[in-house]
Amino acid sequence: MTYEFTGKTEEEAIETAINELGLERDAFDVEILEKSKGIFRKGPVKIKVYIDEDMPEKEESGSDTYEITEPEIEMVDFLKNIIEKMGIAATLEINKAEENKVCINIESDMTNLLIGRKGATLDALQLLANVFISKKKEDLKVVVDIENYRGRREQSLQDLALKTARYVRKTKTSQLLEPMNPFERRIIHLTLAELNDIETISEGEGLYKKVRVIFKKNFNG
Amino acid sequence: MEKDLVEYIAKTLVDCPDQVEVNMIEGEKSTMLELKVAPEDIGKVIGKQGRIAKAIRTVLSAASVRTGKRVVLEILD
Repeated sequence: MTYEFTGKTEEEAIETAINELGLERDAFDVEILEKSKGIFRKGPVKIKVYIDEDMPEKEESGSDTYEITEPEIEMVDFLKNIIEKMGIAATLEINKAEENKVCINIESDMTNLLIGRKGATLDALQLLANVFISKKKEDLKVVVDIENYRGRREQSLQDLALKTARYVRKTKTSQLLEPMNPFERRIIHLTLAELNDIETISEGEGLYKKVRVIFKKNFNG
Repeated sequence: MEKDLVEYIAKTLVDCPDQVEVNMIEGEKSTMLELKVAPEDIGKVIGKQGRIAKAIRTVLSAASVRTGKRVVLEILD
């Protein structure tokens, strides 16, 4: 979105823009279109204002991040000690964006070792962190992540879900996926929920179940 | 060292840390760790469907990748 404003000086034009649009100064970019030449001649200045629409109306203030409490700090120390005793050098960062959820981000040179096969080590660390915090504080979820592994895993699971859906649609059969934990299965179910001709069912017992992706044979339309 | 790792995790999770004991039996290709905790704490190191025990074993095997020696964790009751 762009607007044009004029003023006697550059500052005045920007001031007008701020008042008229009701935005903070850092919510838009300014381009000067016309400026009278010469240092002493003060002519009208025309500016063009660019508003970034992705930018939130009001800037996020500090009140949106929740305070990190003592049990959470102890939990980070617990994880730090575990990783240290594994013989791995790493730094941990804690982020709290929601009241009942904290994210621990690990940085290390030994990323592969800390993630493990299909995220097994990362999941184990996350489970231990959750067990630790549940002793101290109820209703708090801990997510442990390294180099956005969780985000990348989610993307690859979505891709897998869609690829499998295309396959069963083409062959008019069903296909059983590899064993997955509840969070991973949820991503598969959610990704395919909007496809009317595809059904997903979890099969098996225990924590790691398999998802079956099924083409609905009697689906019309 | 793996023994410290198990001991530390167990001591942090149980209610009676002074009753945590870890014995190490070194073999040629693998190391066996025997974890002993107070009877009322057994659930704290095993967890529902063995989830905690599994997590400890996973962390242990990641730690032992570098030594190349297999580590087996036994929880005694």
